[in-house]
Amino acid sequence: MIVTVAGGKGGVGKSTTALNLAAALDAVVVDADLTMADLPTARGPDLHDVLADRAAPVEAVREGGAVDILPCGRSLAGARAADPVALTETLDAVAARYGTVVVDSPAGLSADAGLPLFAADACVAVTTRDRAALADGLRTRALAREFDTGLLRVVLNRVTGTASTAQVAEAFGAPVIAIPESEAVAEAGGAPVTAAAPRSEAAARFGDLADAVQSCKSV
Amino acid sequence: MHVDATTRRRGGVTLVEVQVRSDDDAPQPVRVENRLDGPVWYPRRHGEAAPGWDDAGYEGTVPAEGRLAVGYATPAAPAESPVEVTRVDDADGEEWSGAAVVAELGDPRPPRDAVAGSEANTRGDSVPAPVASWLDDVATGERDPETAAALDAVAARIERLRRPAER
Repeated sequence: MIVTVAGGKGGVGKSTTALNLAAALDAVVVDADLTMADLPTARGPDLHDVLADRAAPVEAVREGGAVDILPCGRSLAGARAADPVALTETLDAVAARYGTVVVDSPAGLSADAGLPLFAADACVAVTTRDRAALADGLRTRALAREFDTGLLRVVLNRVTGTASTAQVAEAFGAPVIAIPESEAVAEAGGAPVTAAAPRSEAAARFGDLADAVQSCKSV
Repeated sequence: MHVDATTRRRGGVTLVEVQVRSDDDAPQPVRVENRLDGPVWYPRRHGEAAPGWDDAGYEGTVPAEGRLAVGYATPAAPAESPVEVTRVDDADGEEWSGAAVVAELGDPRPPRDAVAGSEANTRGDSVPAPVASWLDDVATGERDPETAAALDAVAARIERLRRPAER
């Protein structure tokens, strides 16, 4: 199964959500931001190489860290040489080997954000309460609908206070999971909070998100 | 729909101009497909295909009771009907493909010119064959008096501009 973590605006927590969801699902996280990669990288072939047909998809997956990851290169030349259309078959190949794939999608509504939504079986939208983030999140939601990719959950990130999330759920047409503004997440740095602070509320909410994906998978 | 396609060949390049007119009272999505035996050199914006263009042709919309005009170049020789224009069903339930997503939302790759050491930046002094052929025509072909006068005027001006720099 391929789950894409999307949500128009940058900086709302897509990469953090993707990393934590992948950790909770024991899945591979794919950094699909071809021009501005976020997730940690390492030596060896990356997504640019795979999309340029210089490496096999499974070859580029790094095992052994807290989460299995298919990193993305950071050079413009690499992004230029990569064929974005090859992302679909790449994700299919990784899913065939590893089962579940979580895709960290870039911000925006260009084809690099559209392709992970098109290739996915389902998606998760990440937003904050910020007006711009909500507007961009809804645009992403519309794009997912165009590709018939179902929205499993809305992750409302960095929530402070106890205001209702009902309006957000209604606007997106999907249940909301509220992740509290959390020192645990910030201190975890690049590591999943589910490992760094398993008892934190944020870790519990990412667990809920993983359960939602699991239950969709078994249907 | 009325299609009017013309070709002009110069310096080893064929320029294809296509006009599609529609009497419909609704906008009509169409696809203009190249039928000549060569690649489509489509218009570029910032080094990338202009919206609607791909390797095989153009997809766009003829306005209601209006006109769509597009043009491209190709190294292929001209032929009787250089393009085929077909209506595109814009019905819901459209089947998407990865290529269609890129065509619709735009190629996400950085432009060629943004990449250091790319083909565009390392081309050096050489010029493409059609340009070289055109330059040869200008240099050796028969010049009508008007062209000759214009070229001489440009040469004289370059000479004038160059002189103070050499002093």
